[in-house]
Amino acid sequence: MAETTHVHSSPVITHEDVDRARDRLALAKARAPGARLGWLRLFWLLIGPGILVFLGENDAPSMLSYSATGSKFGIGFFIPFVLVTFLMGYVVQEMTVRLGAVTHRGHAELIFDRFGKFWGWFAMTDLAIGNFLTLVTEFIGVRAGLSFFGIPPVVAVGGSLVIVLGAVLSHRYWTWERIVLGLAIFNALFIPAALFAHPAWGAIGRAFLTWSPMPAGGLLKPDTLLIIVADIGATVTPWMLFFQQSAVADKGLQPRDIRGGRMDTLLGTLLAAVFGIAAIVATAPLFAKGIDASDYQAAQFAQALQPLIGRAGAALFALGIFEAGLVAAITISTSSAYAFGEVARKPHSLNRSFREGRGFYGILISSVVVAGALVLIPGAPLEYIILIVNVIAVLAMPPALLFLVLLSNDPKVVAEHTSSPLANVVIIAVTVVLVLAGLAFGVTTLFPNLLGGGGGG
Amino acid sequence: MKDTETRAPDLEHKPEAVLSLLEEDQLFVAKQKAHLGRATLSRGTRILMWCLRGYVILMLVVIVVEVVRSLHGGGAGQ
Repeated sequence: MAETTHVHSSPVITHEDVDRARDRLALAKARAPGARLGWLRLFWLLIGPGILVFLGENDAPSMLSYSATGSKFGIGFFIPFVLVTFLMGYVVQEMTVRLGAVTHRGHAELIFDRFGKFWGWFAMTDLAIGNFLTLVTEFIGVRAGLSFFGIPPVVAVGGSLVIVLGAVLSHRYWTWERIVLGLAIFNALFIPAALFAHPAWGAIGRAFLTWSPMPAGGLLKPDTLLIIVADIGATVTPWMLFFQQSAVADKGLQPRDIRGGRMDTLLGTLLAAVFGIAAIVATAPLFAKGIDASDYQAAQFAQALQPLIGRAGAALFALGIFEAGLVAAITISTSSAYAFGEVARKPHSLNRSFREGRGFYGILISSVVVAGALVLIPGAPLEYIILIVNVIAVLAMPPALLFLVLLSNDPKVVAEHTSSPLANVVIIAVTVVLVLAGLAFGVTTLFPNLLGGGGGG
Repeated sequence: MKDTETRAPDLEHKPEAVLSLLEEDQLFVAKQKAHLGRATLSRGTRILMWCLRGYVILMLVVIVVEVVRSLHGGGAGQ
């Protein structure tokens, strides 16, 4: 671990340190013997990064991937498949909790420190490209979701930018985290939307138990593979690693908080899995009616669903897509800003004022403004862009997972908190699955008839 | 430090309290000046890193092919 640095034998204490100490003080009070409702208060204080990363990852592209899944395949194989992808996501994200709590450093900083600038810049390039493209798709979701209510794109995107920027105005990690958690919980809107679809509970139960019915034409059909890869990309992506580790460090978690961080991550995993599956269930009536929704945008999904699940259900679905894009725009832009600050060795904390964290806030604000402006350009194939962005996220994941495994098993980094053999087996399996899914996607794209899946759908 | 004075009066004037609540390497200045140092990578690890980097580049080519095809109306995604 890092050695302590003192200046003239007296440590320099910054604004960031003082605010973080205030958060630690609240935790210490909750842990004090005899504290009233201490465990509940401790839970309230420790939740945050895990829930935010998973509900942030249930973003506009992810929810539209699940919607495409539900409308194309109905209730069957993909219901348990999505749950398993989230459980894989938990194993991956738990590692970032340990890394952040023990080192107090972000993921980008650790990669540069341990593997050098050459590999560091590769990782940063993947992250920067992936984050920016994903950010664009979040605003596609914002625009499309609100268009269901007749709100003009400029107003939808402009209003969302105001909310994103408003969340960082407090210059306080804790306040920012609570604001975004408050917004993120509206991801639950997909549950009532699913209930309006009057789901066949028996079919859902059978799907969990039997992983059936399987997609028509098998799993190797190109459009089925595209959905499989996009759904994996809806659960495990590079920005999540960078965001959660940086947020854990910014929140000020310490090794004794790792158990709480795991609970936070598990809760986020389960909530996101339920909401994601709800999106599949909500759009399953389109499959039942034989409506081809493969190139639908969010508003088209909602409009197509209206005759099937009613105006209220469709409105909830559209609002859910808007919320998903908005929350992810906040978390992904923050992920980029953290990574930039860590690499540039500039202040990178939401506990900093704008003046103190010019570079950090500059990246955060400029990335959302440019991404928001881009989606106002008319005529782009938005739904297709969204699916492709999820695929890109999957393809960039294996190298990121290798860095994660190496760091989380390095005693010089995490001391005694190295990964368990089971976690290593799971993450290696995840990496192999991602590589194979990517290769299968590549083969079926370049040679559509080679695997017997036939042409594109 | 002006913001600190207005926002955290309880701890701002008690540096010893801040230090008692944070771990030594949790201070911003400590993180700025201390580095973990380069890891020693085995030959196998380096080969794996290069293979995965090659995989990403190869897959990006596939994405470009897929996008170009779809723009011409023949891809899987359309």
